[in-house]
Amino acid sequence: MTTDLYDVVVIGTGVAGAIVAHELGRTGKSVLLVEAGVEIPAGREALVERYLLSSTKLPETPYGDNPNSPSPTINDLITSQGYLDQRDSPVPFGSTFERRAGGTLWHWMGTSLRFLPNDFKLHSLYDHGVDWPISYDDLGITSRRPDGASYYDLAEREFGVSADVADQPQVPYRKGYEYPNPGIPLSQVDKYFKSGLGPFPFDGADIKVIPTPAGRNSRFYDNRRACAGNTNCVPICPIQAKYDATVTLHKAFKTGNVTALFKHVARKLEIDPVSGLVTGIRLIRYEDPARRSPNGEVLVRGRRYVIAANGIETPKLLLLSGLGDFNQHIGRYLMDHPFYLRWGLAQTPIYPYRGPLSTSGLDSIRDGSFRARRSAYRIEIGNDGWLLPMGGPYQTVLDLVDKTNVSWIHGDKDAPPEPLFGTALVKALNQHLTRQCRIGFEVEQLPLAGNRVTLSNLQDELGLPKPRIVYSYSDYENAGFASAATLAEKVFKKLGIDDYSKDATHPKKCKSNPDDCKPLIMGAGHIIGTYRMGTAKSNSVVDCKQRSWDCKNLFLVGSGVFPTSATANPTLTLAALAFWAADTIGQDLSAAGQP
Amino acid sequence: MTMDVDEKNMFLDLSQTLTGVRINSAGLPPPLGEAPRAKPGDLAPRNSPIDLASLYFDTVQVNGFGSVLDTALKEYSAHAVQDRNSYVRGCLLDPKSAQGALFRSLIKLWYLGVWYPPSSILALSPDETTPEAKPGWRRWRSLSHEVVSSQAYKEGLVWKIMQTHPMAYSMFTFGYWSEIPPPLDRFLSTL
Repeated sequence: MTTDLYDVVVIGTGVAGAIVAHELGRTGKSVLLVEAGVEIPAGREALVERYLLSSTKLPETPYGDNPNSPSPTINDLITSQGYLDQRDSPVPFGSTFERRAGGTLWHWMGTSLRFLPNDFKLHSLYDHGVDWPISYDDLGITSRRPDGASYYDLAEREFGVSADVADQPQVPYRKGYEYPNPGIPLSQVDKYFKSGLGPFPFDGADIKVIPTPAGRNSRFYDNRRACAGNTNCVPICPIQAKYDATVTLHKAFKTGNVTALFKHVARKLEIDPVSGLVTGIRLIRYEDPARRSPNGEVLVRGRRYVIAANGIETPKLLLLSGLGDFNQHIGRYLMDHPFYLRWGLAQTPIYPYRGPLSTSGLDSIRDGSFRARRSAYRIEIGNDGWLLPMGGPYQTVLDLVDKTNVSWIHGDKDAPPEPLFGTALVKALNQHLTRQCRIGFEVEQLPLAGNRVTLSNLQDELGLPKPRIVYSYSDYENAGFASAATLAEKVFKKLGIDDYSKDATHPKKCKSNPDDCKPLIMGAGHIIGTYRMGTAKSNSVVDCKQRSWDCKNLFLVGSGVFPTSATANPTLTLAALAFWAADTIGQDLSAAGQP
Repeated sequence: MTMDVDEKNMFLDLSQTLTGVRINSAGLPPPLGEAPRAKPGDLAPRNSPIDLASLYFDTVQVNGFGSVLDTALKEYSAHAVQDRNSYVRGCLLDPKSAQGALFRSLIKLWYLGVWYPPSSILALSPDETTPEAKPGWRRWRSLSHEVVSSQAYKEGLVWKIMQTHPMAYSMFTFGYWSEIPPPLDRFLSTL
């Protein structure tokens, strides 16, 4: 079956695809959105219920498995099985994504930091990585819109970002700019850091607590409630106070110009060998997300094509379409933000597990001359106690009741002879849990040609190749981890936090199992760099307007276009870029004389 | 599998001793000696439809530990009120006690809403990757465990014990996290 000719076909209904579809739909273009996964559910209660009933609480927990459009899970990493073929990867790539309407923003944290101006010039300033072909001003200051808004402004407005300009001194804003929502109040954990740090010089910066701009309502906004502190942003906000891409999808459908095909998996771009233009995209349709159920194919056609299928599925589709023969950068320069955790116990109660999962960071050291020799990082202050490193209250209860020591809560001491129950247990739990504390370093990665996504010889249930990943850290990142360890130690010492991090505590712990003393580094959920923008086809996959060098009617959006990862979480920046891509495509269509 | 009133009261009494939290079940006369009105922090207020006691009692039965619980309740009730705490302590101290293992599972049930099967009955796993075992430390084999119900998750005591709310289920309003929480005795009453 072949569809009509749309103005634009968009593959992927995550935040980038949703923004492109909405912007083009509201300016009168006909848009076809294609989604491999299931449609927007009528309500999120069933997803929340699945979360509540699960004995493991991970980013993928609410969302279920779909054999027709599989995606990696954290559980896969534990079992060494699953969707991504990582057999040859020196370091397991630890980030996952969702394939369903709204994409991965269902379980993002909400962190909406802008990139810093110097982030775009890592090579010319610090002689590492590459420069972006655009500048901070292109996203944050220049306006290409009649209302004077920059692309960052537009993205922040769409998310309803809550922040105060006065709290973000490192970032230049347009004159008179105000965030759409006032900043989120600091947590007790934040206040503990703030009152205890004092002047804290480190590597040329003064380490201080900076409230984190977030796509999370601080008041009723865009017909959504203010945050009620469910402390569950990842994996799902039960009340949608946190922005997710279904908000923009709904707006897109409301324009009347956007149609969607859900449960259609894109498997190939048809490309005319003479013109180099995409002439259509082949989709596999399936019926039932609960079982393998392919049922025919569809060819979709547009005047312009946009792939917005995340940093792993997008290069996979391009490689499946043969574009790897024409552009050797597709799939390369895979980056994440390795998320290095440190945790401990404060001297006094600081009351974690309250409020959003994070409300501030020690984010005053994201740039500096040190970038000539080591990765920069941002530092997230967690309001979630030992949830990430040590299973939070579950493991604490188990360690106290069963007298196990998985979380090292008992340190190096002998097991106390007395069983813990009754009021003594209540007291011990209260004393311990109210003092749990953790920070996490999101470390910038360099773009390495050897870190890449290719096609595996293993197949998924529809017969499509699984993505094959090779991923590792470079000396630059390792130097970043070393610096982070030093800083973590100093910060904890200054604050009187007893350090319980794996790599900080007693070497005796490692005797039986060396893994017990390795730094704990997770994926941050960021998939970056695999179809990067650049100045020429010889060094990149798309130009600075996110148009493919190889196919002039093809655009690629998402964090895959980033040439470097910087330290900010990628969502806000990829959203800003998606607005820009939409404008470019709209101008393209108008210039070509299309209505 | 419905409990009679006496059995239920004794199960609640035992659960109270184990958890340290004052528990009063809905709709049943309180145990002798207890005031008839629900107190602040009572686990199940007087007219609440939630009946965790029955749910948890059934969980024990369904998972095959009914006779262990039966013995425990008989032994527990046979002790004078002032001796019940040391009876429980004795079971917990004895690594071979099936009742002791069940008591630990019951504590986790009330605190987390999760059924962790009683674990002393299983063999210790020598290749368990927990930190080095010293005398007195136990190393349990990883056990599969399950959340009993979403309501059990929401009623888990551990969240009240740390003066907060279950993750994904906040009953509070915007900005509450910026303030110090109310003291523990506003969340529950301890024995």
